[in-house]
Amino acid sequence: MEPLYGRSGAGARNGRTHSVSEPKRRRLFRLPFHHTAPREEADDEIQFHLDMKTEKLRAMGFSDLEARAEAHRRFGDAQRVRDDVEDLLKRRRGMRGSDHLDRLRRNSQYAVRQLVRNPVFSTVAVLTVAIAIGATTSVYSVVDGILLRPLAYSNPDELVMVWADYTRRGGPEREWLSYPNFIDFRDEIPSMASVSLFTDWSPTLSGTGEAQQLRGGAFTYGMFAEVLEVEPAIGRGFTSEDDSPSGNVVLLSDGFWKRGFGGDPSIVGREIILDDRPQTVIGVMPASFRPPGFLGTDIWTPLGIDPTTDPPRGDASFRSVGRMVDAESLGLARTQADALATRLEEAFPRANQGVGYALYPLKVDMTTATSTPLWVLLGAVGVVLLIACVNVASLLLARGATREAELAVRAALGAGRAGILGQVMTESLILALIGGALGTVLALGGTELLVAIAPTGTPRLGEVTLDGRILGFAAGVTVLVGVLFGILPALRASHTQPAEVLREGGRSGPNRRTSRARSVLVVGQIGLTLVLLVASGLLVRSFENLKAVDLGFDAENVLSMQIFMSSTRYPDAVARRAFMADIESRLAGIPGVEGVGSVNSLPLASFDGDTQFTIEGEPRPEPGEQIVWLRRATVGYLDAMRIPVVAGRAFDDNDTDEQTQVIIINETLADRYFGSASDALGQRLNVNSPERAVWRPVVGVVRDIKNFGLRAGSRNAMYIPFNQISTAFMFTVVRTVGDPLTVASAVRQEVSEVDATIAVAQLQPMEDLVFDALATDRFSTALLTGFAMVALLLAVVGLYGVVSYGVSTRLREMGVRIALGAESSSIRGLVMRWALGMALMGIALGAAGAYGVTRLMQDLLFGVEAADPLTFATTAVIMAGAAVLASLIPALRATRIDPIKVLKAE
Amino acid sequence: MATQGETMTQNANLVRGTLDLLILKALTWEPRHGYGISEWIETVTSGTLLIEEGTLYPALHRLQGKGWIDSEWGLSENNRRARYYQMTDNGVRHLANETESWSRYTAAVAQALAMDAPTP
Repeated sequence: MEPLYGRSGAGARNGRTHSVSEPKRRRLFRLPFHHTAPREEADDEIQFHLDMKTEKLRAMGFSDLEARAEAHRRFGDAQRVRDDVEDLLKRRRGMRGSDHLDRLRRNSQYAVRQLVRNPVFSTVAVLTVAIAIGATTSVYSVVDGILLRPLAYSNPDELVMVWADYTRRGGPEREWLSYPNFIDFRDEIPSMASVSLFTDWSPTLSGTGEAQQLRGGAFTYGMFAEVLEVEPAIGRGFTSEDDSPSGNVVLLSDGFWKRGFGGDPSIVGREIILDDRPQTVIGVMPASFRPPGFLGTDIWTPLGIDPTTDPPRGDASFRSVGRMVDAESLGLARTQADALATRLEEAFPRANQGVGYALYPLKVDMTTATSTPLWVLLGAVGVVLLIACVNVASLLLARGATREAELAVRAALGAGRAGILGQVMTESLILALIGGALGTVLALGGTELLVAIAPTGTPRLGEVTLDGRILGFAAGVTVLVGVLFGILPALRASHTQPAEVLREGGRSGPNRRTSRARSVLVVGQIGLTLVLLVASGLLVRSFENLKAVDLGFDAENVLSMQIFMSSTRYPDAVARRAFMADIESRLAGIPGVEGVGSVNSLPLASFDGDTQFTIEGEPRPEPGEQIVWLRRATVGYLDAMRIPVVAGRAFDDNDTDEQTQVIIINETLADRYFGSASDALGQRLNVNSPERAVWRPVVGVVRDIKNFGLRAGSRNAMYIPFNQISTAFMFTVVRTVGDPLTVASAVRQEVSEVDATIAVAQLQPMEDLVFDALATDRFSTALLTGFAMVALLLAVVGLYGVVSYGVSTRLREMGVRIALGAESSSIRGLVMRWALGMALMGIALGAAGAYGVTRLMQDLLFGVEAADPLTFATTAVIMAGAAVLASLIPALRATRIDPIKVLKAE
Repeated sequence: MATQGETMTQNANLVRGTLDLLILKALTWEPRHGYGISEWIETVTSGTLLIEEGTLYPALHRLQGKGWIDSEWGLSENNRRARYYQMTDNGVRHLANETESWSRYTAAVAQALAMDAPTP
């Protein structure tokens, strides 16, 4: 059967009278007022009809009001008729730009009417879109702020971090630099415009209320003026003359200036007391300056190293950042650095053998640890967005089916394929726009939430904002989403065959073609959900493994703090030992305190440079061999931390300077070099330079502890009594009977009674450090699991919808089966088999997809393989269980079909 | 949904060509405005066919697009502005063809329905 109303014969017009419209006439010569606007013409014509009809009905005895209402009723949807007539008129006369706008406006109005008419559908769809776009935009804003946005410095692509590369020694590829290796690099690499060497600097500020510890950095000349290219807002910057051992000038950050000194500009030129030494404030950095995380946040000073003291080339205690001559020079700079490293290896084989330089763009360097979790999260939220789109598309398809007859009539009346496509797409886009607007509002809160729960120490967190960039992203995603979920239903609608639909008697309602399309969508949706479930399952298992990691010490009921003994008040070991002894005995006297000890490097809190050790009677090791992590501990430390002694003894009060110098080693060192703990006892080791060796017998072996994070493997470790080697910087731990925070104020009180200029910094329960060590994992696990749950919910809703719909398309079949005596259980089985078939297909596809995708997140996993069978099996069962639940209600409903009703309705 | 479905069914029957034929037929003798056409159809079919009068108008404009009818604005019997439709030559030819095939079609269906044995 040929289309009833094709667009044929339009040219063959040969009217008996002059025609009112002449489409062939060239537009250029058309008189502007030749036609009334199509809309008005349509209005006039319809109005005339309604008036005539009303008049007639009134003549038949209807009241005015009744007559008008009846005329309208008999006319039908006047608005739609007017739209259609207007369209036809325009098509005959040729469309103008304003007509397109007009049509858009009309489509929009029509779409809004449709949405208002189906409030449940509209609410569900809009909320689905809003939540998905909100979540995606929030995660994207974090990814953008941390990973994508250029650093907030001039020409940020020229900035590079400079490290020592120890990979050829079997060490890290980002090792710290020694001062001489930095000087050679600074002076001999032509493609570097400027380089600055820096180190952490955490001075204690005293003399202005309670002593407090600041976070800052110390660096050689050029860091601000030449590398980061930032000048102070008030005062002056550092000069090369400031960078000397006698220098005593500092620059403040805007934040610290306002917090500590109320933003008083007269601070410039004033002296403040840092680490017990007066230092002159020479300027304040601008508020817009965002120091890179490694430079701290409060205060900066020149490094002040005296080159004439000949700092050792093997002493890797600095980091370095530089600016290249231009952004394209990275390759060249690396080549030049490699050549320099080779020369230095030949000149200084002892210190430099196997040591190279490693250059990384600053942004990459700052964010390298954060990037994998963030990309994984962005990917996950993208999948959620996709699943949400599928849900809305599925809803639209179902609704499209019930409107098929309406659309068919419109098509038959000349709406045209493009017209219907445009109209259905307009509806989808309006839906997406409302959802997108709401989602952007949600993203405001979502972004704030993400920043608030992000792990401490996440780089560039302060640069995460919701600005034009992000709004642009949200708008782009919104349009994409609208097209994505709208295109299938729109194509379906525009291909409606009016003849076919109308031959079915124009029966509107669920049909099987739509049911099939939705089945395909729901299979895809289940697959995507399974990928997310597997990913989150792997992270959950990793997280459980991490939590179960044996720390080697007992973090519960321990309070820890930092104590810095300034060199002016505590100039020598004797003074420091006396002070620590005083502090420890006072703290031990606080009620509820069980034990007190101190160490120069607390587990999970800090890092201490490695040292090489030698074994008595053995040859001197190669560079990079026999590296040990050295700790200085007071007598009570091992006991306070509950680090068990596995052989020999702990330190005691007799281990003083006057007695034999002793050491305690960990099990890893004992096993690796002496075979066993007991064999290690009595062996003598040296950690000084081999020329001035001090041989110390091993008096004890203790358990390994997790010092460098929960994922790190065991490394050689060694403890030396604080009473035999002392340092100015210590961590003190206090073991308590109950909640360690209950003694916090007493601890502060005791310390300030001994010396009010001492800042008790980072006073916190040891468990907080353990908690922080898991922060990144907790963050990614929680978010990914949240996304997976949302996806699961959407997939269950989607499957429920499709199964219900499928049952409604097969009402007649089910009715006949029931009428013929089919058992409820067999009807139920029919529906469930169908639903589970879809679910299983989705699960199979999802498992295959997950197998391919999860290996990308290998870096995030701990103690579990990316293809972990248990995780795959568990998540598949969860998905299948959810599918059973989702299909149970429609299956039960199918068994209650009343055959008589169904068959009558046909 | 039920009432809407019913209406659709009625209109659908009309859409399947009959509305076009009725419109052309209504214009055989004289130009008429839309209301006049709807009145004519209502009268001659005893009000059984055209349920939603509005559907007439898109059809009129579509027929005009095909060149079977033409229209111009004129004055109605009560001196109001109304759009009058009239047949074109093409329309006359089309109506003749369609009337003939319609008659064949209805005759065939009627013949089949009149059977009282499975084969003639």
